[in-house]
Amino acid sequence: MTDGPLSGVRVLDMGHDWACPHAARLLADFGAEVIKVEYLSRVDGMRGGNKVNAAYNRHPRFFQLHRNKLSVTLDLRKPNERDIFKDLARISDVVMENSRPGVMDRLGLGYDTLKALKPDIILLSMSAFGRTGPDHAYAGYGGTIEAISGIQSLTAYSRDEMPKRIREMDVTNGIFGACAVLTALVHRQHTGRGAWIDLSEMEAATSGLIGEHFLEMAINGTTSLPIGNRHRNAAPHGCYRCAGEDRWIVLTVQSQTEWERLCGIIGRPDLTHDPRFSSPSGRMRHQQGIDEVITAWTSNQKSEEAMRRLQEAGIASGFVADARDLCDDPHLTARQWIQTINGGNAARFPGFPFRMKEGGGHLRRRGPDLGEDNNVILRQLLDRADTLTWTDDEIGTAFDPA
Amino acid sequence: MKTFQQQPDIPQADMPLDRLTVLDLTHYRAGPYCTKLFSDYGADVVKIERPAIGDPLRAVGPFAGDTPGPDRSIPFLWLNTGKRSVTLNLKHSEAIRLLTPLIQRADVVVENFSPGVMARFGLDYQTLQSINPRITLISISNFGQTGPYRDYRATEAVLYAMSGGMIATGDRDRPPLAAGPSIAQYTAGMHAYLGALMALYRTESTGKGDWIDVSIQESALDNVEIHLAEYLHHGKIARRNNDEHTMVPWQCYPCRDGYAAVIGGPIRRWLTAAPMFGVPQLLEEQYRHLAGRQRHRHDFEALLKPALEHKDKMEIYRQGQASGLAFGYLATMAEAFQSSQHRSRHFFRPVDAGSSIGCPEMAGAPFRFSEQPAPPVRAPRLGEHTHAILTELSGCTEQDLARLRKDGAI
Repeated sequence: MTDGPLSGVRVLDMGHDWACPHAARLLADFGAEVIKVEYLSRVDGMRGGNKVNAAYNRHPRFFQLHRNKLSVTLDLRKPNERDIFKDLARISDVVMENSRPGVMDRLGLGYDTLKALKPDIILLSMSAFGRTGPDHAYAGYGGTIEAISGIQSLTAYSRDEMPKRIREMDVTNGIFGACAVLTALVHRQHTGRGAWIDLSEMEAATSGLIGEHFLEMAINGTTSLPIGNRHRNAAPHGCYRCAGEDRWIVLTVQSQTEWERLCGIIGRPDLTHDPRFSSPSGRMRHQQGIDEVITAWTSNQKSEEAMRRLQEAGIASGFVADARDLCDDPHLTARQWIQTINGGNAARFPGFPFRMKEGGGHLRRRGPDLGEDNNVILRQLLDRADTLTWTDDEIGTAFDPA
Repeated sequence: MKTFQQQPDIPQADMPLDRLTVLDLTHYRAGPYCTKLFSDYGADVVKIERPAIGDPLRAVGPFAGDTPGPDRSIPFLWLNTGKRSVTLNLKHSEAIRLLTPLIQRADVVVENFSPGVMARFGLDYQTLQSINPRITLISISNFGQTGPYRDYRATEAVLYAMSGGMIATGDRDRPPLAAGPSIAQYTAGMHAYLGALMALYRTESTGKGDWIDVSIQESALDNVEIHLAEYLHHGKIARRNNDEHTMVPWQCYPCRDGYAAVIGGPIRRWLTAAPMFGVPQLLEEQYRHLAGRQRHRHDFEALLKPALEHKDKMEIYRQGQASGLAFGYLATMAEAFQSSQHRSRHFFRPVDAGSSIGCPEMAGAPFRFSEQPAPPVRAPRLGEHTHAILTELSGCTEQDLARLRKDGAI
């Protein structure tokens, strides 16, 4: 057993790629025992397409998405290995999967079967479009969901340009997958009952990111986005070039006082008397001119230093951080956000999304090698005498044959 | 475009959290989204608002019919569905006395004031614990409760910039681009909900509450976890790249009536699906495998794009899916709102928002415990439940309420 709020909860993670594995990773980070069920004939896409020198055991993205999990290889089409899965289900609290709707049933492992094995089981089914509806059998990745949900349409440099992607939707949907499991666990604590949850990734991302924009559509028949790097009702607001290669700062002025302070910092106190800029609507109207004045100052500033000076004056601002900035950031460092395995000196990993006073996330191991825990699970957990072995030839990747 | 739709025939919904009470001290987006999720799944959420002004989001547009008003802010109407509103001045000397019965009853308190403000109100974690040892306090803030940026001010764009999203959004030769949706704040609301439920789950066995520190920055870093993991292991730094995905093809391309999302996965299906474009060269040796398509990305795209130009996005979407690939199309908000998939699942449901707004359709909750969950309930008017809650829970008489109102306490 491990520490953390979910200590004692056992989860079978049948997910692949990103969204469901992310959901299970959050549960594992906070103490659940998560067993990743892997399929040798088609290993997880995050293990890559290369088998040479067991390259599937060396991807940082896999280390991250499957950290704190155990790995067992089971071919669920083989009756004896399906029985091993059923033995695991009998002693588990949660099964989570993101295969297309119907796949679990075809494997003979649908909700009714699982419920017969473990009456209060929680099954989380994540799919691109949900269990029902005309498109339910369709496939979807983050790029599908972001486009088809309307989310992508809201971000662009200007209204007439092609919208840009903001993120893979897998993390949003993964967080919701974990939320769904916890909602069901608390419900089970209250009632003793399990649940089968239908998570449509198109619906979850829509609900979680742009519900307010759909309500604008429903009430006003329109949408006020995209507006590039502008703000709906504050000016100046934008992203300004700083000294150095690809260095930038974002700032927002939200009051007259802040505007006057900004003018002082950028060495243009004369602008505080300029009537064109003395109201938010005036500054909105003349934002392009203001942007040029601000850029004249920022382009000679280090982005972090400019942020510090603006923040000291109470102006919301931040430098546009890249991965290196974040991993060396003084604030995140002071908060000890970056994690190492059991606090050792080995590889560093991204930290946890929240902290719990009574004990929260803990990093115990990186994503496991393929089948790393087969023996532990069969011998210690299930007390079985058989073994799961394979040859390299049996391993197939999720990619095209090389 | 107001849409009125017949209420579908709905079986009685399962509300998994209907035994929970949440004391909601939040405002703007990150905090209210956390408590909205509690409300979506059946908890009784009591939102405390500042007398006369309320949640400052009530003054943020867009407004219904472009007419400002405390009950007309569209983001507020979205973020506060199903909650009850009580006006109470937390600085007033009687505030804690009035709140105590609610704190005793509540399972969770959620707040997103600047760090230190709860202590100034006399509502720090120790005080809450002394009133109710099982209570869990969720504190959401821009950069967390500690550290050198603790008191930094932020807007959504600042948070997106400082959590690694913005550097990787947009075009190479242009400035980083801010996200349209408030992704950092909404992500924090989701994580706050998750953390609160984890604490509740443990409280059942320990009998002890918890204090959760949600930094919106740290929470949003989850969105770039792979960028961070690859930097930490390989030193690779992700930057914006005009949405050119490492997989090829895996992005939106122009077509006759907009943009088609040509997502060439699952990759193992590419070869059998590729003939759908009717371009024999796409099947040539150098494009047969992903590595080849990556190496010859621009030549490959030069062959692919003309095959899309004269087709409609829905046609490309259906054709791609019929061939087993995860194609999509870049939907406008109006198109997504009317999509047959959403309509078939009754994802948008009419909510009676009062006579001045009508009955707009609202998006449903993010995941379903039953095929047709209960429809959302409109957001409360400012102080709509002050009288009911203070008389029932805090034992106030009419005279007490009149005095408190005169005093500016409620």
